[in-house]
Amino acid sequence: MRLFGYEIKKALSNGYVIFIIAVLLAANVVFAVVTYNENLYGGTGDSAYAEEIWELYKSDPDFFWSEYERLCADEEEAFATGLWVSYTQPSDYGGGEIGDLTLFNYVINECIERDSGYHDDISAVITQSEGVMRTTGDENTYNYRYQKKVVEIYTYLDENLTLSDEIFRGWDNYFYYGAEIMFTMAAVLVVVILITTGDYYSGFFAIEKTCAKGRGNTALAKFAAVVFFSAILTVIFFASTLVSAYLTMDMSPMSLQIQTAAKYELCPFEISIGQFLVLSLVLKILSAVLFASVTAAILSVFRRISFGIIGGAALLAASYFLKDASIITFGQAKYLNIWSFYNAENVISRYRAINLLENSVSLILVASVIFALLIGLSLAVDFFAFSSLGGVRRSMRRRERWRKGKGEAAKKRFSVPIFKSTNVLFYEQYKRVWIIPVFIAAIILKISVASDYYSYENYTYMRNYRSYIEIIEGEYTKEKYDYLQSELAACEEIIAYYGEYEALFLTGEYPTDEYLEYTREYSAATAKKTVLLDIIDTADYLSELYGKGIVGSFINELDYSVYTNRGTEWILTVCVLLFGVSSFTMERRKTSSSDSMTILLSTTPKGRRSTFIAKYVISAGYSMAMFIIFFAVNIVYYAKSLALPPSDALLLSVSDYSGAPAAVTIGEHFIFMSVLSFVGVFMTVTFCFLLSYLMRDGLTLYILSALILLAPGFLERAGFGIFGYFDVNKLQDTESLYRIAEGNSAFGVYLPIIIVFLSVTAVLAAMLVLAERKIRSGGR
Amino acid sequence: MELYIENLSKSYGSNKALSSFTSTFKPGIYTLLGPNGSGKSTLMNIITGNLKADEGRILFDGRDTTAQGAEFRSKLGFMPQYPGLYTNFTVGQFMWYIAALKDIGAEYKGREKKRFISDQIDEILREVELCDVEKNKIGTLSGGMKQRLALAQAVLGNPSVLILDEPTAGLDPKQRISIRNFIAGIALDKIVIFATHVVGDIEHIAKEVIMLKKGVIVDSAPPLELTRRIDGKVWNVTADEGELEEMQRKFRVTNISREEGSGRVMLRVISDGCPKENAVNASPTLEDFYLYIFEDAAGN
Repeated sequence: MRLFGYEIKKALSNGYVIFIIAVLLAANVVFAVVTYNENLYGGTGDSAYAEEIWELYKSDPDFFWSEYERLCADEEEAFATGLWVSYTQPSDYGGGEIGDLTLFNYVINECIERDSGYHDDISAVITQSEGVMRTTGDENTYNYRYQKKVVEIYTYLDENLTLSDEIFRGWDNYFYYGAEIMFTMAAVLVVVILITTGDYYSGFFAIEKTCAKGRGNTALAKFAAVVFFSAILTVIFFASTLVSAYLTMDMSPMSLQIQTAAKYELCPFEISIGQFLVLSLVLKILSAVLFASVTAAILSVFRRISFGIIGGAALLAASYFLKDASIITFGQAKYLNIWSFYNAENVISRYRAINLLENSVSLILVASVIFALLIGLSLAVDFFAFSSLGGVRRSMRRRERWRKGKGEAAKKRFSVPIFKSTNVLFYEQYKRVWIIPVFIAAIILKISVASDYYSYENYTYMRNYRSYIEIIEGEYTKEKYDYLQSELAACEEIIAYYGEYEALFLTGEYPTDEYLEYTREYSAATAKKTVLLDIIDTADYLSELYGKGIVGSFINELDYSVYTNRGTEWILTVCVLLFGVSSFTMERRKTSSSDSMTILLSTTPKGRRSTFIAKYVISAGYSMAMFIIFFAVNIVYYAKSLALPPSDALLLSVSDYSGAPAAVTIGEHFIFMSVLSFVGVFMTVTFCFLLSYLMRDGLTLYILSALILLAPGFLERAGFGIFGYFDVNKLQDTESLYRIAEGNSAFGVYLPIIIVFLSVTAVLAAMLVLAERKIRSGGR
Repeated sequence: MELYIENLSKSYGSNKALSSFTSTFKPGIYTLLGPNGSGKSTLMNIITGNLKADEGRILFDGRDTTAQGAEFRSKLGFMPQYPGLYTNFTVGQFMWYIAALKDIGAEYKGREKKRFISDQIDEILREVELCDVEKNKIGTLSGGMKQRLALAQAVLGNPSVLILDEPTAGLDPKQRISIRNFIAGIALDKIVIFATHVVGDIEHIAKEVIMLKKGVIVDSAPPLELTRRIDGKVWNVTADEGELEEMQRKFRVTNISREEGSGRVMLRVISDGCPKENAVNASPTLEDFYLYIFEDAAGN
């Protein structure tokens, strides 16, 4: 027990680990808040108006229903008289923001009829299962037994479960957030690495293993600590997500049935949301403990951090892909993975069972047994590996012995080559050779992201928009404006006949095929009208400019906004941060009060300025190369899938850029912003590099760098807009910087941007002066 | 060749690490001897340009070393106490890296340059007995091997001034003798300044021993001369086991050995006067002198 306590204490005393966990926790909160702010499941239901209608129903249901009938009748009348085009829902209850009928329909569909809707869905499941049972026939097959269990479970729920009719808030959004697992497992991995290999890397391992309780007992204590931290971290991250939800949204009581949430409508358990959370927490802990155990076992055998990271990442990746694998190939066994169990949705969203010798066995039961066995196996591996392993750098020495054993020829063939270079730049690259795979991986990731981001969205609105813009693209003319108006009139004419033709069809006076033809025309006209109204808004804006003597152009603003709204390139930002901040980490290790590799370097002719420059070339070189490649990828994918705007069109033509100077073209703006972005990335990497050089303490460096580079952007996305003004990444995301400048400047748009860049230049100049002083004094 | 240090001082806040240090170094081996915190590392770091002195100057062949900058550093070889070598580099790769940093063979070009460097590296690795592990990663080397590698990189490029901090720390006796002899061999035309706590290493090779205490030179002379200063002050004393504690309290006892079965102890004592009736004068060693200077009667 004491050894266990010491393992806990050792882990908690490591500042780096605590910092990393804190960062991951903060990131989880930010991502959760951003997700909840997107409010995918909210809208009408979140409004206070919905609450009022709901209260109206509870207090006076008769009046509620009479009001609803009145609203429906009004709408029908408008429909029937063909006034649908100009009909707008009254919003007496909705405060002018939401239509009354929308509110009433929400309360009816989502609250009053929730229970009946639920039972309808359950009945459909039962009916389907009974159908499969009849088709299967043979009672001794897994399929039959599984469907029989499904019928039993859902019949019970159908007979015993009644869903509340209260307005349901927050939980659908809460259950939508699925990124918590990544942060939790990353935190668990960090702690597992520390506990399993910390003693080894610190040199304490050799002492530990000579003590009476330094082997098997210590192995058990370490494993217990790993399990302990996995559980605690899971609870902490789970709580952080839950607290984020409560702070961001209105949340319905936990006492409501879990089936009230859209994702868990078919949950096979008769439990409340609160009980569900407890159950899902247990499953999360089980998943995290399994993950931690397996990675601990890997680390115990190989004693290399990289193996632990790769092993952990591979385990998670395999789980992720397995959960989405074909159910035909894998059956429900595909849900036997860490990801499915951590996020619970695959496991508890409906009844799941595994085929064990034609028996239908609950997935949760099977998983519990398998997970427990794997955890036990990992414990055994850990125990024996820790107890019997000896020596330092075992894998390195084993390799050396193998080479020697193979004789001189093999020794030569398999030995590490010596590069006889006299170039300091070469050695700086050699020290940070890991940059190359990171660089390549980042490019691959960018290509993957870009191909998705710039993919052409082939839905009706976009198709119609594109087709109109293709016709009118180019400088504004009165003729184009008139064309748009005539198109709109044509659509409205078609739409206007809807009521009349429907009535004729219902009375049999209008032939079916002709009516169907008309409904197709009506759908097309409605869709076109929506697009035309937006384009005419743009035309009105261009017409206004034309009146001032400025000739704007029609361009594909939607496609253009895809490029200009792409935001911060986070992959690039993280890589720039990594390349810059890691510049001096190889020399930062100190083992005494006065000595380090920095001192040794600084006593050589090329160990100061030349080394400083070489390190900078590596950091900045890779960062700028990555920027250029990212830029090229953006342009290529943009041009491939979307419409490039004409470069000679005035920037003013785009209403988002209405504050731009009259003479600036889209092409000029593009060049200017691109050059600024290039300079911005250059400044960012320079900043990170100089910070890395000037700061002695590694932990403070990482904290400060992460805070300066990553925190403001995340906080802005989380809804704290003021932090946008402090987001260094705006130097790279110059379009966002432009929007801030346009909204806040009385002196034109580009001047504030230039001032920002000049200010950053001044900061960098000051840092460079300090760096120069440090170079002269030997780098200490 | 001459390294002249004049009136060098350095303080860390209120702590005076080095105070008015003045000395002249010509080719030969000079040892800095002193307890922890006496200013040895401070002095070495100032000479190597890693620290800026508050006062004073250092001249190499009449020219200020700070003004010389890289030119002086090209004549410098430095072995820190804990160098923190790159564990992922092989021994050979590391030596080539140091050669690049020291700009060795700048007067040559192309293959000739590489051959020149290669020959130097091979020779030095042979001298320090590391040629068998040239392709091994530094992380796999034993502590003694790393120490020898640190020394090898210091002497690479045939520097005129060699600064070594604890060059024999962590080495077994055979290795220590080997390194000692190696340093003695190369010191003929170099200024070698090294700091050590292993007094036995310097007795036979040092040209001059500089004793530092709290940043101040307390004495400076060849080893033999220093030991002569305590002639007649080192005693061999036989005493009862029970007298041991009192002897330690009253005098500096530098060695204790017990006679098996007799209950008596043989003590080596440093004392200005005869500590006991049966005390016999012994030949002083440098270690005795060190303790005479740095340790009081209570052993502090």
